[in-house]
Amino acid sequence: MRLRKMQFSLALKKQRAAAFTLVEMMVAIGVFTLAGGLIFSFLNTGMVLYAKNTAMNSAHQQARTGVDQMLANIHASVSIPQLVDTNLAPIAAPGTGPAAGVDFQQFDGGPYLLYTGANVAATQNYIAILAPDLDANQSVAGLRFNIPSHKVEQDVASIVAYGSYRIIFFSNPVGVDIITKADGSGNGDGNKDGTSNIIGFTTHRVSYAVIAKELRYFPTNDPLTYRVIARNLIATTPFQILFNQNGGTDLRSVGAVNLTTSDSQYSNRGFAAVNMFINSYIPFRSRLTVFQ
Amino acid sequence: MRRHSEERSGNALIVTLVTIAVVSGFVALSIDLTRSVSRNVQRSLLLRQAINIGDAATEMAFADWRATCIKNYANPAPKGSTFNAASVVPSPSPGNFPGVSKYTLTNFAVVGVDSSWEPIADDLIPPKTMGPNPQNYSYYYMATADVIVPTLTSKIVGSATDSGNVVAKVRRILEKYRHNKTDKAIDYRDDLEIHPGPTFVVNGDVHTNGDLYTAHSSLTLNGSTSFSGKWSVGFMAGDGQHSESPTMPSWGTGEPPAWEQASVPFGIDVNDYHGLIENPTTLPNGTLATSDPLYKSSYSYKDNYTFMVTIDASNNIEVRNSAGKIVTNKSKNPKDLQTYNLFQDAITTNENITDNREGATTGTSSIRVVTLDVSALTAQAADSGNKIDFSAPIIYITDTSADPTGMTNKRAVRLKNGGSLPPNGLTIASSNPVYIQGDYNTGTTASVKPESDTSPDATNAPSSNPASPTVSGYDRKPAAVIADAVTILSNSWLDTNTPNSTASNTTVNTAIVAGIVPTGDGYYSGGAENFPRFLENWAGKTLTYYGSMIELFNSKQAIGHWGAGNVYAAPNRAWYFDKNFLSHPPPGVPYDVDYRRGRWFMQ
Repeated sequence: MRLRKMQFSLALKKQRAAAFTLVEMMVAIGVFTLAGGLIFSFLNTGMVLYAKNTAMNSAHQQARTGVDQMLANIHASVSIPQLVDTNLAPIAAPGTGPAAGVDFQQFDGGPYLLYTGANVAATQNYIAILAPDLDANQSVAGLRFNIPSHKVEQDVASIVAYGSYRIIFFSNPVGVDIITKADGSGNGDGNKDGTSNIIGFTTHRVSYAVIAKELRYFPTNDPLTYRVIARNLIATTPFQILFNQNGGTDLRSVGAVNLTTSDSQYSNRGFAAVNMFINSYIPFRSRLTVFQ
Repeated sequence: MRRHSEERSGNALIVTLVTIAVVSGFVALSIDLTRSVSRNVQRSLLLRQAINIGDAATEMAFADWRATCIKNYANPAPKGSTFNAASVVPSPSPGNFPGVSKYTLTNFAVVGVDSSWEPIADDLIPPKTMGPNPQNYSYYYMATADVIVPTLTSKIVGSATDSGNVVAKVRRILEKYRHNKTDKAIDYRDDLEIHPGPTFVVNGDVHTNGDLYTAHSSLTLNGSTSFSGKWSVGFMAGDGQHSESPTMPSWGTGEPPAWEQASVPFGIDVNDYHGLIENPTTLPNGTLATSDPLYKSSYSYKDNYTFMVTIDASNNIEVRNSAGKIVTNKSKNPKDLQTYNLFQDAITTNENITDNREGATTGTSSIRVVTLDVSALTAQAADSGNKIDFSAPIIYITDTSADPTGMTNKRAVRLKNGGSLPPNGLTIASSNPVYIQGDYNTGTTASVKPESDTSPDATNAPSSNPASPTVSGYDRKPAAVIADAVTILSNSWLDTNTPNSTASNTTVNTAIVAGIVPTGDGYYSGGAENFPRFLENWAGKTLTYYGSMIELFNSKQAIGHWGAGNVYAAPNRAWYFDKNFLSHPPPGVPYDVDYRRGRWFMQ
């Protein structure tokens, strides 16, 4: 009898469990839908904010990294920066821009002492230097050799090792006679009394340019060899040389304007680091070469 | 059934926990990324701050090094120990960097370096590195500054080895460069204006310690152009003689005008370099103090000459040899006697010419000139019996009766028959204005003239093949004329000439070191295109010039403003920088010491 009562009771419970009304179900579903919608909306908003924040941070970071590197390089430039187009060709005079890119020379190696065993004739297209550490097998793309005291600045065509010396070949003649050979006079005139102490150094030309919305770094000034520094740039010609109020330029700086990035990698929303580097005034620190 | 119910409850908890974990993960990632970015940004900003502090510190070191070198101008190459004392190169204080709360500056110093720019011991003189001639050379130094800035992750503040700190080891090479002033086409100590009408090409380097004014597209700067002030595409304030709209000049590929550190003539800092040519013994008291560096014999031409010739108010001639001894017809030393006879024959006194430019300003156009026949010097140098030293001749010649204000008693020196110069060149220095009459340093004789006279170029446009400025077989000698002002008289000049007299093609090959009458009060200085002055009607005639034009001071005796009417008509200017000066400068030519910022880098 007790067993029967228990079986009946269980059966009654099952009937009750299965007896939610349609109204009850709809209310329940409505409540869950509302709650789920609220949660989804909350999460979606959070994700959007996260994506926006991430995108902006990323955009800022990319631009900052790019500008930091560019800033350091331009600081260390040894030539007057010149503006270039997307083919890295100097823009036409007066060359103040705005332009897609900028190029300049960086110090590469030296100073090296010129070989004192023979004078350099203006017509010869090579020069010998004491440079045991100078890699003769390196790429000479963008490489230049400079003798500031004699205003010699030439693109390097090749380097040949000869013991501790390196023979630097140029595409063109040196252009000036250089007296390096001692005459033994001992009169204290440097190159006349046993040691020439005429020095030269190497530089290499590098470029930065905005091409296809990318800020690209060209370590050898070769348009085909580059590294992407920042992506999704908005301005296509962010570089210019600033004029002074008198109409001239002081050519001590490069104004990088509107180096603005957006980042679509995370959000597809194109959030931009708007005008974060407008009118950056980037002075170069020293000028060791005559030519740009 | 009970177990079944517990499973459903457990799933809900797990789902909740997973959801929370995922959301928390995203939040954590976001926070981590944000923190990472924040730290990078902070380190980036602090590094930039450290670099800026290092930059500023080395700039201060540069300024102190430069000032110390100028103060010790007699020492061409101070040792590194010269700059050790804190009083010489004082370390920057935090007050120099307002707004920067925490930084540590160490290794702040100026040291000597060798030719490879490697530091040398403090008690060693930096080695000399050579230029294109024995008078051009450099000494190198290095300014160092290590700046340490702490970050949030720093463990030891001020430690360069703590990776938590940001460290910037800033290095700057400093160069003390001594070079002759004749290594440029145009070199101005004061503001430089170049406002040519017709096409004018400057074939050589240009520098001004002041402001550069260019305003014409007819100007081409075909060399390295630099200025230490500012560059204006326009006209100087006070120039009332130009009203046209300024246009941009042209320049050589890759050589735009650019700022450059000011050069220091002789490496000494004085207000008025006219003292170089003044004769202090004849000046009013106080005009040139004996304490003035220019008074010292190593700089002033009144003490630094091969021959010194003075003419007094009565036209008496006094000649001194290089030792400062007066030579006479009674001198027993054969060399002195030759010197006396040479100048007695070569000099003519008490001649007068008319200079309407001076007349327009001072009311006195008649100039008493002493004429030096340069051919007499050249003949003496070539004479087999010559005993006079012509190895590097410098003649200081001055009429001491000139009014130092230029208003009255107008005196001048005229160089005549200067077609050929002594074999090692010639430098003429005078406190008076100098007139160069006719071809100079061209090899011209009575029967032979250079191509530049017979078939001159109308301009010095770079595409032209320049006419030779010397006759065949004559090599230009290193020459300089250093004077209060320099006026060029053509081959056709006669003392009876009027301003309307027609000039003829003339060629002058010499460096010119002279003064200007600066722009102001409505007057234009005349610019570099009128640095050598003119008096005749040169219209259609060509002045061919190979040399170097150096402005060091304002004129004191030839003070006539440019631009007065009835003075001259401009020549065609076929002017070129004489590249021979790079390897063979004129005797005793002034030099500059440039204190340059060299290579900048971080170790």
